[in-house]
Amino acid sequence: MALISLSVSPAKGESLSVATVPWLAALVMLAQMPHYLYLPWWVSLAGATLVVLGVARWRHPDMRWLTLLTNGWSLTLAAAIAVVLIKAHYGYFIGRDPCVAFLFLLVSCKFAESRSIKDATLLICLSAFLLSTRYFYSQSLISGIVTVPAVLAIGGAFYVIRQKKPTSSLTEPLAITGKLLLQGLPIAALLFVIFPRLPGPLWSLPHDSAATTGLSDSMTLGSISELSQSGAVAFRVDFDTPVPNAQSLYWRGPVLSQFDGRTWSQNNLQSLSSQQSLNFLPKSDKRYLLNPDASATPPVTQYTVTLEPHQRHWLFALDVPASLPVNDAGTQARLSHDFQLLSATPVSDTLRYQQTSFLQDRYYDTQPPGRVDGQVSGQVSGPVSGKNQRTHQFARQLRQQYPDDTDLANAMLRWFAEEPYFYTLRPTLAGDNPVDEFLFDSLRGFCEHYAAAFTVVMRAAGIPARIVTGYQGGEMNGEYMIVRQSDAHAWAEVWIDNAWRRYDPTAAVAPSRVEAGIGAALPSDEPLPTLARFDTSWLRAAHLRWDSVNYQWQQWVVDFNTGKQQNLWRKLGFPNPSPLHVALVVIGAAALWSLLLLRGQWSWRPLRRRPPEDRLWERWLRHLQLSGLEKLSHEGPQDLGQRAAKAWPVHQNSILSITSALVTLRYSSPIPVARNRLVTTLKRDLNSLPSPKEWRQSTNHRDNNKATLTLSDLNGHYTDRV
Amino acid sequence: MNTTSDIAIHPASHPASDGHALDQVVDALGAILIGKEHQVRLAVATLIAEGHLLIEDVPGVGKTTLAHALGHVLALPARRVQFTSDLLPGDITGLSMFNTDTREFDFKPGPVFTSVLLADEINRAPPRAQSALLEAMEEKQVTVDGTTYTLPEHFFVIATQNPTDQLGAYPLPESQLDRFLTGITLGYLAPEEEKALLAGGSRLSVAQQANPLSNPEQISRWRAQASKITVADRLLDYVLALLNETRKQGVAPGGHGLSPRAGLKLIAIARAWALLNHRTMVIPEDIQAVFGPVAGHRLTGSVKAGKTLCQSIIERIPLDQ
Repeated sequence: MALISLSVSPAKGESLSVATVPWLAALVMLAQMPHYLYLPWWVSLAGATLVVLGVARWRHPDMRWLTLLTNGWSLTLAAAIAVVLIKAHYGYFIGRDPCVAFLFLLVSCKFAESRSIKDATLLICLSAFLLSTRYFYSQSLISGIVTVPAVLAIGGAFYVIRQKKPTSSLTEPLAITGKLLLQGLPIAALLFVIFPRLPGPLWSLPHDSAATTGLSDSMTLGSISELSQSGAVAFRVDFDTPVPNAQSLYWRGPVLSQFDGRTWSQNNLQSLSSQQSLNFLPKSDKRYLLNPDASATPPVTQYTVTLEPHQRHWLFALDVPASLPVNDAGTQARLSHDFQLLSATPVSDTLRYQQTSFLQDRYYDTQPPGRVDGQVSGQVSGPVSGKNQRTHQFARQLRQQYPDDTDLANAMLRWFAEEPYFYTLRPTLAGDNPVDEFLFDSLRGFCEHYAAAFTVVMRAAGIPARIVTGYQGGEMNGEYMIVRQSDAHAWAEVWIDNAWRRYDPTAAVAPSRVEAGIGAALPSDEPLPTLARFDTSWLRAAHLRWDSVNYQWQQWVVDFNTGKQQNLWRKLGFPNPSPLHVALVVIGAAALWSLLLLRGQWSWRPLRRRPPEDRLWERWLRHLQLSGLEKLSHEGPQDLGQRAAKAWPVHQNSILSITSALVTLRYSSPIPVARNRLVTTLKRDLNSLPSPKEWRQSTNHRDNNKATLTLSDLNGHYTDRV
Repeated sequence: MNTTSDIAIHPASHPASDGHALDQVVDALGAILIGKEHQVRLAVATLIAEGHLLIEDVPGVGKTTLAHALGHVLALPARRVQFTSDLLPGDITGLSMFNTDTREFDFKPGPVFTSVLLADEINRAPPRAQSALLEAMEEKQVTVDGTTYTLPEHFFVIATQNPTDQLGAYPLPESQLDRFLTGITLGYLAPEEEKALLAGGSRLSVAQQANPLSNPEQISRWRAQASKITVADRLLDYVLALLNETRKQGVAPGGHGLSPRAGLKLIAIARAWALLNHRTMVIPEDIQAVFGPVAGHRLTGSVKAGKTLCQSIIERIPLDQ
């Protein structure tokens, strides 16, 4: 799009003055600044170089090679090369990242070739567009703050290029921009609140394969321990009901049923979205949740999750999820047969949803594992041939010892607890038979090692079992809970007595992991993110406070969507405002606000501060003027009164009284009581005056000598009054 | 030689109430100087404002009569000094003479030791004699041979000046003109008034027969009353605008606008003018009425030329818009 304008040269229109160049350069740099860190280094470098070239051309207009380098043709060529390089770098061109990179370079090119005011205007618009692309990546508070200097620069640059006389002042353009921005803020805030929102993004961006930290749909031994070293926030939770205790905080995520001897993966990898879902919800159908024999309902908890984007389908909920997420944005979600919450589209933006869970470590199923609607859905039981033979041997021994499934599972937990197993983030590297090596040789492992070993043993003993990954625990920050990547966890689910039951072997090895979080469970020399550690340093406190601010921002600004807007309208008493109403409100408010601002500038203060005598004096002058008597510019009140008395001898008495009251009010300093009385009488006298029309008709056009009012009459009047 | 003449002092018989007394004084003076009510009021206002009066006019229009009338009506001792080209400072201030009997120097006070002093045709005298008088006016004291003599409390000089285009005149420099609070002209009379004048005979003898209607104590009271008269803030702004206008390039022919002292004096006499009109506040009309007499001679060196200039200045400055 900008290519067209790039090839327009030489620049037409009014040429730019040199004084504007620093402004434009600063604007471009500031608009590009938020991108520097995210773009490939060579793009950032090329952009900066072009800006430097542009400035150099202005400084040394006599250098031929600079002019040559920055003319329209060379820059068009440079842009074409950029297209090729960007395509080569990303592998594709139509997508968010390459297009932003291209725009980034185009803005630099435009700056380098800008010569006229028209160019500069286009440059400013392009910079504004580039600035807004930052929000494709992040809508956090920081992203907003980072753009403020650039926004000021946009205003400043506009001001500077429109000035007839070049201004060297730095503060003047900034001050006027700041003032305009502040004045516009209330309108912007109003528009933000009431302008109709679209459910979902305006356009969908071609999806980029962004590398995000988070759980994946497969697990090898060591992948969760890697994840645990990230301090990034996975999601935040607001509890409507009391916060459950730490032992219940199992946030259910991907369920991994497939095992090939090394890697655990999901049931039906290729067709996750086509996976069968439950036809009903546990909330309405209790048979999933309750032991058919029992009658007690397990405790229910309600909460709202704010999930950071992770580009996958799954949503997290406390074990056992009892409802489908209720989401303002209308995102479709469902519950799969292995009780995974799945959204219809990958979570690419921060997602907020309400969720209900039963705090229970098992759920009942009418169908035996491995079969879903009559189809075999992956391997939930049975060993993998040829791998981890020692483990299988061990399982068979256990089986002989414990014929009962529950006893066997408990025996396995006891084994972990009693043998010298060590909970660590730095387990020994796994070889070909990772479970064997962990279980019998190294005895050092992280949660996935214990969960995997447990599951393999169960399966080898003929009990259906699988691994559930997710998060365990969370940290309260004021009103809400933060769950970080470092809280990632893996545990086992075992099918016993028609129910999938949760077994967490990690808890057997390191009970504090579940009770007090990972920071307490790991020795302090383990490479855990600082924030997962419990200490009371100020850095941590500051970080938590900042997280809280960000969370509010997310909740009240970024997540202000159609649903919240409708709620607001409902609360205001307009359940379904028509676009016309909204438009009228906006226009009305904007007009009112502009009026307020303009009045404030012109006559607001003078009008409010004018004392009554001044206003009454003006009224008197207006009356005389309408009656046909214009006050001379240098004429005093008494002279005017005398002239009026000559013109209207009939009204001589009221003229006398009004004039003397006005003069006394305006030129003496009567005590407040006398002053108020005078104002009252004066008002009364002015009110009882006949209309100017009548006055005009009664004008005395005869000889002025006939006037009976004299100076001494007036003067005498003052003595009576004062 | 100079001519001096004494005017008899009459004690005030029955001073009426202050306000009425002031009216009576003005009326009485108006009866003596027919058709000169405005000038009479200005003269009285100047006296109350503790200033000195400069009358600029051709001989024979009643300057001397005004001085005598003032002295008589206000019951103040009045004297007249005729300024001539050979007048010496000692002729005004007085001399120390050697007394052969006592073998000491005796100070013989000059005509300046009086209340109302009429300095007739002041611009006929050489500058040395002029400045002797002007110093007495400013400091209200006279120093002769190292001894300082204080002048009476109500020392009031009425100086007359022939229009400077007449022969044999030493025009007063602008700095000296500044010593006179007001400058007025008397001018010729309207025909009827002149006819009444002609019918009535010598005005000077009428003046000398006038009854005293006041006394020095009452003058002091008038001065105290005048100083209490309110001048509103907005009026000060108006005065400021007038002063600034005189200071603008090309307004005053002499090149200098009114000084801050002139501004103070303008307000002082405006207060006296308000008192004459029985008001407790100064109104813009007061300022306008006294502005010409105060500013005219200061700006142009001539009362007559100043009159037109001041009127145009007043008309240029908007008021109460």
